[in-house]
Amino acid sequence: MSMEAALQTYFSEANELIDEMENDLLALEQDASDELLNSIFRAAHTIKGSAGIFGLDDIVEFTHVVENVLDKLRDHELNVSSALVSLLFRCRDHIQSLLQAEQEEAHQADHELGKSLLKELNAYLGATTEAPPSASIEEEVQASTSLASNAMQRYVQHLTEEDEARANVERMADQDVKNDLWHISLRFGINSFRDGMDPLSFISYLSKLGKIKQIRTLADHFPTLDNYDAESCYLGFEIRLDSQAAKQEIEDVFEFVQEDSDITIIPPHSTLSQYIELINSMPDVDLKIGEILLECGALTKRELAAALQQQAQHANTSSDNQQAVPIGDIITESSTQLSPVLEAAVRKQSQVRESIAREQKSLRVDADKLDLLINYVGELVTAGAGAALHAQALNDPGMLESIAAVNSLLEEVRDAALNLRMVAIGATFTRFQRVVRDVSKDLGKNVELSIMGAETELDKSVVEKIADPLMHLVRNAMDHGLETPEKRLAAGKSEHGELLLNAYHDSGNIVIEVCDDGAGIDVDKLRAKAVSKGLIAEEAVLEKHELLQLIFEPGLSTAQAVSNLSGRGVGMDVVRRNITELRGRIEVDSDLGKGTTVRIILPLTLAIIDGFLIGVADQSFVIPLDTVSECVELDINENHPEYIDLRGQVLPLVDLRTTFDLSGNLPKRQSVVVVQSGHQSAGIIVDRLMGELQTVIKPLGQIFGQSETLAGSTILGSGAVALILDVQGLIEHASKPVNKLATH
Amino acid sequence: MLAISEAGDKRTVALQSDLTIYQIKDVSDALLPQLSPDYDLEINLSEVNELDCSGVQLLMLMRQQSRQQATKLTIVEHSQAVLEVFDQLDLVRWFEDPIVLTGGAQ
Amino acid sequence: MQKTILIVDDSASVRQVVSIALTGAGYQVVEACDGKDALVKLDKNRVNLIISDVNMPNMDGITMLKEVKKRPDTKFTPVIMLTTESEQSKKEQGRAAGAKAWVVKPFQPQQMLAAVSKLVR
Repeated sequence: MSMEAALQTYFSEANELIDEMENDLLALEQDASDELLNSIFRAAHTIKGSAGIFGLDDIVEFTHVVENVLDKLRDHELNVSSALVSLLFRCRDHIQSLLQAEQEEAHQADHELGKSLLKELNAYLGATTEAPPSASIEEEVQASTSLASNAMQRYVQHLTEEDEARANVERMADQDVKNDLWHISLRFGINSFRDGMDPLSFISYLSKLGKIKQIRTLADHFPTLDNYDAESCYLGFEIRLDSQAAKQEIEDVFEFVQEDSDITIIPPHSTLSQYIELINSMPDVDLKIGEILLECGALTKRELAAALQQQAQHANTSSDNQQAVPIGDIITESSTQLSPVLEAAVRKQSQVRESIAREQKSLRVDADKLDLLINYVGELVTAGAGAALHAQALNDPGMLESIAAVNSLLEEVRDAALNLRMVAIGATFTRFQRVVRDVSKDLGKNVELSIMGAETELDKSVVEKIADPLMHLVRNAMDHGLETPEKRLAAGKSEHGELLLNAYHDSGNIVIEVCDDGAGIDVDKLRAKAVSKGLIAEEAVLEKHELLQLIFEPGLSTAQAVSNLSGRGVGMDVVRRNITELRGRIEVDSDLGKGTTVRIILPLTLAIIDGFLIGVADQSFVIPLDTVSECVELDINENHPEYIDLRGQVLPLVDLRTTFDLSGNLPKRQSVVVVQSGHQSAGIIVDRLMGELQTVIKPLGQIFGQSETLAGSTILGSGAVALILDVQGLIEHASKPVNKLATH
Repeated sequence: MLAISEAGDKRTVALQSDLTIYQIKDVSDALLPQLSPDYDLEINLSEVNELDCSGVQLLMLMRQQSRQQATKLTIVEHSQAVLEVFDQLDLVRWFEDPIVLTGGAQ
Repeated sequence: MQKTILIVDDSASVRQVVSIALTGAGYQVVEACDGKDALVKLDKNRVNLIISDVNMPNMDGITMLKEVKKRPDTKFTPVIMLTTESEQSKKEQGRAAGAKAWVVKPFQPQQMLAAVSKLVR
């Protein structure tokens, strides 16, 4: 564990907070509850607070002002307005950009934007900030950021006090007291023990700053036995300290007790008047403290006599405003000491941070480690299948039973391991709230986003990769799908366009839908365009869903006007490619005038699938089980048919023998495995049906990487290699005759 | 908390607990009434492993009371923890109890 | 004897930084992510000092402090509260609840060490 690791934790935590902040800001527009305001405040607060620890000053400076505004909102000194919320949105984005700038070398934050945002924020802070706003805020923030400048601030304050005090004191004799030790007079507050403060700890700490030459523990304030409460503190101390420390450093030792305790610190070589002040400050033990000072050597007898005399004079001459200096506010006359001492304090501050290894306690797990685990689980599943195979060969009932038990446990381990990678899609969905809000404002459309199935879980790597395609689909729906309010009203629809993000599980797949109730896709127009681009032949006969699928072809867009959004994103063809890379597929449904639904169907996980093992010649293949709908026997009378009639439906056939150029004798009997992908079906002609199995997908090497018909490979329990079929690819392959029309 | 034994005019009270703020209320309730003009009190601190200022304060109060009442109080067998604190606060002289240094501690 | 310190903060990075500083100085550290968690950790661990953030989800630092002050085995445990300048009103509430030691965020690890060594028993 190092500071570097802690910094990484900070970034991931800050990024989470910034996401939360966005959602809260969105919700804030609907409902300005205290809870939301608190949550937003807390996010800014934590981002700033932790940034300071890591010395990320840009973030501290900016977020500090944001936080001030949020604080006023929280205290209802400011009201939630849409202008303010919009400003906060922009501030949030700027914080994000500042965070990014710290994380990535390449990213530069826009400091001009930061300044103008600060100006706007300061306008809300109003009278509480001195003009000019941005400059003063920066100074203020910087001052509070580093302790070094804090000390400087106190120093300045100190000098002012000193001036005032000097006038007061100069009337008195200014003899230097002959000693070079600090004198510290402590009377601890009555509740010190109860507050968890042990004077011993402070004294121990004080001895780190120098050598305690003398200490007197005082029992003078002890009460009578009847009034004694063992948990109350009645102790006092007079300490003489030999130290090169700054006055501030010594004062800081007692910072936690100074409010309830009487603490007087007199620097070395102070004038007598300061001891007089000390004596004055404790009227009930006037003489006593004099004696103590005398006894512990802080003052000589002559000095004490002079002090007491002056005290008496002082009381006479200024009886109206005597003892104006409050207890604990010690005025040092020897100001020459301050500068070197201050320097020392600053030096001490800038000492390097510690980076000591420590036992890790975090639950965040490196994704690589998870992948390794899943990889091993995959191997284990394969080995389990091998063991099952051998057990079957041996046909030992006991053995079979044990293997079955092991394998069912393996299945659970597999599920649990995969589950580790599963995350809810909700976070990805809610991110679109903001997009929808911003884009709809840009476009002058009213769009309401609803989210369903936010709790649906899918593989983290899938979630990450799905964000970009989803973004494009959402933008597309708003840009091309949903109409302007006027058009909607004219079409007899509600003014608000509805956009739905929906996720659900469907037999081993996760389905993500982007639905809008917009204009829908004009299939005729689409067809005309496809023809004009040469994507399909003019006379081609295509089903509606086949036509709709054309929107995923490169270079096809139905937008009448090119909006500024079209320039931003990727084309639908890229969306499809992204989805295909995830072994998923994409479908579109649309009714003209009623709306469009784009459906992304993805496998739950990328690593392990349930497969159906088949054999052709001496080769084994795996078909993903969720694509298999049924198996039928092939009528051998027809020799190498391209289609069969399946209950009145035309089913194109794929012969793996020809597809993969396999030789080997034809068996007496062949079967057809009917597979389905989306709306399309096909039959795969196989020699042997070998049953279901779990299989670990191994990616194909470079050479086969581009293969449209293969999704990967796997190692069977027997050690043989089986190829995993890409059903979608095969179906397209089978329906080539249809597509060929386009290329003619 | 206290182990009390008597021999002639002398009563010996051996503290069986630490002397910190967490125990101080109970200890002081038990210990303070032991001060009496009827006998010489000896407080044995050999079992005190931890002591904070509330403990120091109680012992100081006992000593102060014994002086005022002119009763006899002796604190004996200061444990290492007690000695360290007394030393730090320069209280050895103040208490006026003879400190017997054991061989090891020297 | 090694001293144990409980650090309560919803920010994992703050906890890490404090832990690094404290373990480096020879303290043992127990972490909690909010007030509720802290009370659970206090049930299981004897701690010499508590460092707690104020603003936290589930249970804030001040509510936690009040509870700590009620429990006989923790009521005298020194508590350092973490705060920012903008939380003056919280500071008042905290003071009333018995919090005397405040460390202002952002802090340097050495500042935290100094505060701890002034208070730890």
